[in-house]
Amino acid sequence: MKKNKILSSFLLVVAVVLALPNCLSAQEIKIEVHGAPIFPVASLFVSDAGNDIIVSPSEGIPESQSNTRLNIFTDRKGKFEYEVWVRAVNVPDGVTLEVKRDNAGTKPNGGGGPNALSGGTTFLAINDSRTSFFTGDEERINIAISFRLKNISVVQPIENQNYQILFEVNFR
Amino acid sequence: MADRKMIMKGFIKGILAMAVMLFLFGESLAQSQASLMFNLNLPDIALIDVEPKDNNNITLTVPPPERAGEGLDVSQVRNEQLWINYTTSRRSNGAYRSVQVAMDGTVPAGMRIKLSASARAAGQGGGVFGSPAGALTLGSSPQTLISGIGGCFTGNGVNSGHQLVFTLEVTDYALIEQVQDANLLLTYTLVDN
Repeated sequence: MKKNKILSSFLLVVAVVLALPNCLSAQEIKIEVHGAPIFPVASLFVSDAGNDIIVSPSEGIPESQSNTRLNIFTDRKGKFEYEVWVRAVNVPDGVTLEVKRDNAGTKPNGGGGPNALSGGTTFLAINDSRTSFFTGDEERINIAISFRLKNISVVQPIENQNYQILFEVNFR
Repeated sequence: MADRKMIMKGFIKGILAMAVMLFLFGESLAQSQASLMFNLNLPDIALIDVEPKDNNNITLTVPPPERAGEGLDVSQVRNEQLWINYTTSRRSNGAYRSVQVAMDGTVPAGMRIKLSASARAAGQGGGVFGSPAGALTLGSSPQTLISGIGGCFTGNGVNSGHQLVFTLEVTDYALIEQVQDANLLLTYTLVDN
């Protein structure tokens, strides 16, 4: 009885040990983000007494150029498709933060057409809910993304606003 | 027989453990996250002006009596042409602001000029507007015209913000001289309370 218990435990351990290398070598996909949004400071001032910070609420405050890049790497071979998600944390009440993709980046070894990525090319409002951003079927680096702020107002307290943007990628 | 069952149980447990681990590790390595943080520092703003900007000089003219023995009738001496606009920001626990007014110059003897601000014109601007203090007798010392201003913007131009109402009062006929002109300069300032 005791021998059989030892034997069954040994079989369990062997099975786990055999599983480990397979687990560690499971195909993975990674996302990196470099840079951060830079908004023109002049946009945060008021042109005349009686006006709010933004004279044209529909346009908001866009970045003057894209300052943020995404890289997506995977060790999966063959055909695959992935989806990138985005979420924003600590967006102040009343403020709208938007993001869009400006290009499709390039392949890690250079080159790459614009059609490897799909979606995300128009401004998308982001908040604390996970939102689908774009999809792709190739590794890509230096995917330029840019941000826009709306509804910034003198009515809001003038504390330092700290934003956090979370990107997530997974295979479809 | 019991031994074989025991061995089989151990083997099945191992297979199940392997399957669970493959699933869990496979799922965790198939997702990846990255984050960035940035700050936005809203500037401290305090702007005030009197509209219409290009023509905010006013004249208060005292009409002469129509008949001998009558006094000066200043009841109709009134000006409501000017509006005060402001844009101001405030920290969460920061001080509210006030509009103070001070006059430079000498009012003709025997008279005084009073100034009051209307309630903020409805339908424009946003935020926490100030409350008018009531009619003030203008003088050289700063006086609070509007108080309790938080983060807000009144709207820009005439018919936005608070309307300024100037009136004239006679305080002592004995002091009134025949012909007098006076040029007076008013300064409006946004101050922290």
